[in-house]
Amino acid sequence: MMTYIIRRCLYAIPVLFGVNVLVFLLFFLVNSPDHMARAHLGQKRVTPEQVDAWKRERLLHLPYFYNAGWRRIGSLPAAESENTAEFPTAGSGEYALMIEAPPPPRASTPRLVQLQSSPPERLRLPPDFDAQGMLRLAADSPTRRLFFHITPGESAKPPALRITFTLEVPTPAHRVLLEYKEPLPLLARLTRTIFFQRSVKMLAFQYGTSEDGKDIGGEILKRIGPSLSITVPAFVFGLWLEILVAMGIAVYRGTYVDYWGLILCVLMMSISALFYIMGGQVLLGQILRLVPISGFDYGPSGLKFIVLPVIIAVMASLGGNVRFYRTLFLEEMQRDYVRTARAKGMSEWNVLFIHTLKNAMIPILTGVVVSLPFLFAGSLLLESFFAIPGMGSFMLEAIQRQDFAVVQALVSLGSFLYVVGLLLTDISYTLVDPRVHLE
Amino acid sequence: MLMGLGWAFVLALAALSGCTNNPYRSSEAGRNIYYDTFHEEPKHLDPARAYSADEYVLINQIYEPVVQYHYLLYPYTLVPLTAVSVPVPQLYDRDGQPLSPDDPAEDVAGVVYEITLRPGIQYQDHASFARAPDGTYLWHLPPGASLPAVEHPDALPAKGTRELRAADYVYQIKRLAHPLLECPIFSLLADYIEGFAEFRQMLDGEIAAIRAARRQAAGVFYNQEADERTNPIYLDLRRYDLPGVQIVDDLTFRITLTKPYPQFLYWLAMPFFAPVPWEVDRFYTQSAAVARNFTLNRFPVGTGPFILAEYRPNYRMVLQRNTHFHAEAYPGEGSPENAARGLLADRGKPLPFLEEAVYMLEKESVPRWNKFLQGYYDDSEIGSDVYDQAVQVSAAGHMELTEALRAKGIRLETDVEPSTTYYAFNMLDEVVGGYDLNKRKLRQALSIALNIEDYIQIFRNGRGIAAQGPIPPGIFGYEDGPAGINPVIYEWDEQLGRPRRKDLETAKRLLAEAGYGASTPLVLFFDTTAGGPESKAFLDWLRKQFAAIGVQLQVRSTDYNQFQTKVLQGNFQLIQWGWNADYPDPENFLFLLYGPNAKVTSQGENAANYDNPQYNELFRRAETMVNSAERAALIREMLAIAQADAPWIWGLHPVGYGLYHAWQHNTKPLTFAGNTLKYKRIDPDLREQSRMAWNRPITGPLWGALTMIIVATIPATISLYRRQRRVPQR
Repeated sequence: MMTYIIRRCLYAIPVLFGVNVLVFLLFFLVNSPDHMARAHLGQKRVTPEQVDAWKRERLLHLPYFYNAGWRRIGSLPAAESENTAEFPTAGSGEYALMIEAPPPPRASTPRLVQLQSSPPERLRLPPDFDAQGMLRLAADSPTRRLFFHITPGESAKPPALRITFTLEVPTPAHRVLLEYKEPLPLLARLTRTIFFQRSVKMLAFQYGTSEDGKDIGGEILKRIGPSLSITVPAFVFGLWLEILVAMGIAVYRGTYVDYWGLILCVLMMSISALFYIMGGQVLLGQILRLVPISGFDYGPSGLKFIVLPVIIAVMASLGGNVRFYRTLFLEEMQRDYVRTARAKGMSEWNVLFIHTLKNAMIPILTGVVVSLPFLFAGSLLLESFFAIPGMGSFMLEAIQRQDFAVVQALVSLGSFLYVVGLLLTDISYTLVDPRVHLE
Repeated sequence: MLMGLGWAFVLALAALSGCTNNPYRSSEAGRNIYYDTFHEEPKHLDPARAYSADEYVLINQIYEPVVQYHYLLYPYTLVPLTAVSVPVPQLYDRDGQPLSPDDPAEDVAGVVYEITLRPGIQYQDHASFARAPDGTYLWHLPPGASLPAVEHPDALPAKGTRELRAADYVYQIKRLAHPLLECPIFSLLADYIEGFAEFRQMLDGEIAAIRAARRQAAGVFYNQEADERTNPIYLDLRRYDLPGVQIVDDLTFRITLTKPYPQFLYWLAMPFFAPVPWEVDRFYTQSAAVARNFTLNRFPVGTGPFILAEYRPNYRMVLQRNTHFHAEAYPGEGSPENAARGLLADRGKPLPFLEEAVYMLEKESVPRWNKFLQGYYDDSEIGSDVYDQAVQVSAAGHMELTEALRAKGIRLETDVEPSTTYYAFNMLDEVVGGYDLNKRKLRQALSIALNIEDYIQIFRNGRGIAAQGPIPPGIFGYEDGPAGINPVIYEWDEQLGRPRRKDLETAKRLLAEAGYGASTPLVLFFDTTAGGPESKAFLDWLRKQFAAIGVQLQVRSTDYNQFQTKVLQGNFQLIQWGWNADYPDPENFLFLLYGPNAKVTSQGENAANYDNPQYNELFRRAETMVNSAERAALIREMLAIAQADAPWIWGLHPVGYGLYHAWQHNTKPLTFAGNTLKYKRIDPDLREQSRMAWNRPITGPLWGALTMIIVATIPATISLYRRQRRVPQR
């Protein structure tokens, strides 16, 4: 069995890595670092410099997966018809000009770019530039990258580059960026990326800080308590109630209690959780005034706050589970051993609670164990409506704030819990059912 | 019976918790505490970074800038807070000779604000001021040392206080340029404060040098991010000289601007210009403090009427009266209308009135509203979903509270918000943009067709004023009556005494003149973040408005990120947006149409990318003028240009509705002043009685339900019993 567990743990590594990659892709498919910066810097008076500084502080200015070494060393905004600027270079090597333009139709103006260097002999331009270092760009593509070289020379002083950018029709939102390809070792090309800095570290449970500088690990520890204070009572009490009701209905099988009980269960399954929340708040908090409508407190004075969420969590899952467990009980009650037990004169009570319950518990338990780790994950809806500072509301807030670090950490944790849950289920099989062996 | 067990459990728990819906601890009953809510954790409480309403709610009560808005006077007036008087800018020419305000603006080479503080103002008790008998600071620790394990810096055993000094204001202004603090208004200030941009470059250099040194000391495996998280970079800003901000003496400092900027006074009233003592910065920027999660972003230190006694952003925040608060009295002057509303009853009494203010985390609006009705929150807004519960139209035709709310003694107060919403055309777009006559007619036609008055009635329950231009009521330059209407879209209705929107025939005619008709229909694209079913009604209504003049509206719904990108690139035709004023000056609205502020070229706030040289020229002239007849004339001219060009479909100025319980006094729904908590007064006894009367628990129905379930199962139990007892028959 030990080897089985070890093997499963090893399987978990590619799964967790895959989840990390997936979260990374999904998140950055929707949000770019620029979007994140703007979401965090607020609505008013945000300048491009602030966005750049924000990204730089959080290493979000790096490329996503592979860092070829391109580094911006100059930028020439081009709003006028003729724009010129001079930039110092970093010495010999490969350079690129990025011509940024607004998307069509507004980019539909022919553009002219001219490159000169002092001293001129070290500049190596590709053949499409003419002798004066001029290149005419057609009016089609919004963004273009032009590569060129600066060759090594005798003088130690790196040459300066003069860029002239001419627009036939002055159109704003054009920009020319000068980039230099820094020679990077292979390892740095892979590690100096957002993916490595943000996602790979997550595998070692290094959660780091949220985008606004809070320690995520500490925050998770703080929030697990409130989540558990709802999920654990709801889980224990819910399981107890579900089994009890299911057995009750099984005992009364065939009578009107069975019939109406099932109708009630189907009804309860069909109602959305949101309705239970709103209805519960109105009924118990507003009309009967027995519990606070929402809120949370630590310690014993918090008891009054958890009553309603726990009841709602139990109610929301009651219908489906009661039906499921009833089926299990009925199936067990048809078994031969039950008939034998009855035949030898056992009371119905003993038959039910000693024999049937024990055997029906095998499928129930295995279904329950897999959900155990998720008690830590809390509930999105409940925590939001009852203002409970747990893991569920943490996730919701992180998504709303576009806080990649937190989203990534919580999804990693969630997938880890899921893997643990499945493993626990396998182990619990062997514990409750002696016929099962793990190879 | 089995079902009954569940209910028994419910009852047991309810009984256990004392059967009350009171969400507060019993120790808080009857105390002079004000209750409010917050929706999410405020991101920054550091006055150099905070710039949003939910942050200001807290820090405005804690930090004190040199001036503040008068609580009652209207139009908005600045009065001294920690300063002796409201500073008067002194203009100087290139040779340092004083100028009078009438001298030509080109001559001005410097504007000096000299600010003198009132003596004897003390900071709240705080660990950063605590000193040993030999004068060393107890909690300014060397690297590697640690603080006692407490949750709040106020729980540290030794605390101290000291007098407010001019140097503290200077220190904070320097912090606004600190590269690691990301102050949102740095670029704006760098245009005005002398040497501010160079000062930041100097700090940039310092930080780069410290980083390089650390990297060198640690070797190849240096992780800058991890290192700075535990060991923050501290710059003692007293050591760096900022030419534009100088200390004159202990209580006087001087700010020098390079050009006139009358609105600067309004910025001086915001928390950006609150004092931060160097001791506090030193205390929070040390590894021992960071290890305990103590930062200025979370635990403010000020001279104001309240201190942040509890910071638990997951749950609740508590402001407590500052025992060191300087003497301040409730304002004595106000209008007769203020007096009628009871706002002058407390004149001359010492502030603050409250002992504590508790802000509870409340994420959803429905529980927030219901707890307000139960008396557990002292005031509330009116959300659209509960509007019908709260407000009805009286027989006389005006808004009043519903019977249920009036019976509780709840009071309604309304105020026009200093903000505007608008639909911006993209002036760079080939279809709707451009400045020739046809394009103008096209935009004018569309502006007439979109009936804002209808929108206000249908979607805002009448809570708004249709805008005639960007400037809302209460701001200089706004004109009431026939002179203030937008003649392109409205006519003055003499009988009703209010503007009347021109009819659709006019719009259709303008549209035809612009070259669109039945044979050449116009398709207009509207970009919006509204998508889901809840906004369907609005979008349908919007389509219908334009369809009435034969224009087909295509709605392009996107998420907020894509929307922002589109606006930044100028890749849209029509969007809806809004602006909340920073300060009560028309410049803060007119700059939304100033060409050099265009979104696409300079990422400014001019989302329409409107760029009319004539308007720009007038704006430059009126921008830094003091309010005068001349300025009013310039503004009138600018409005006329913008109204004719119609870069916006002028939207509305929202009207805020505030509801207050009878036990709350001195309430005013909206004002630029953020530090209003000190004026609020609560009658805790009346509140306690009301809460008791409104919240008697009812347990009867629960017992009833329990009994019913038991009774319902009795026949089945009997038959089951019989079946078991039945002797099998052969």
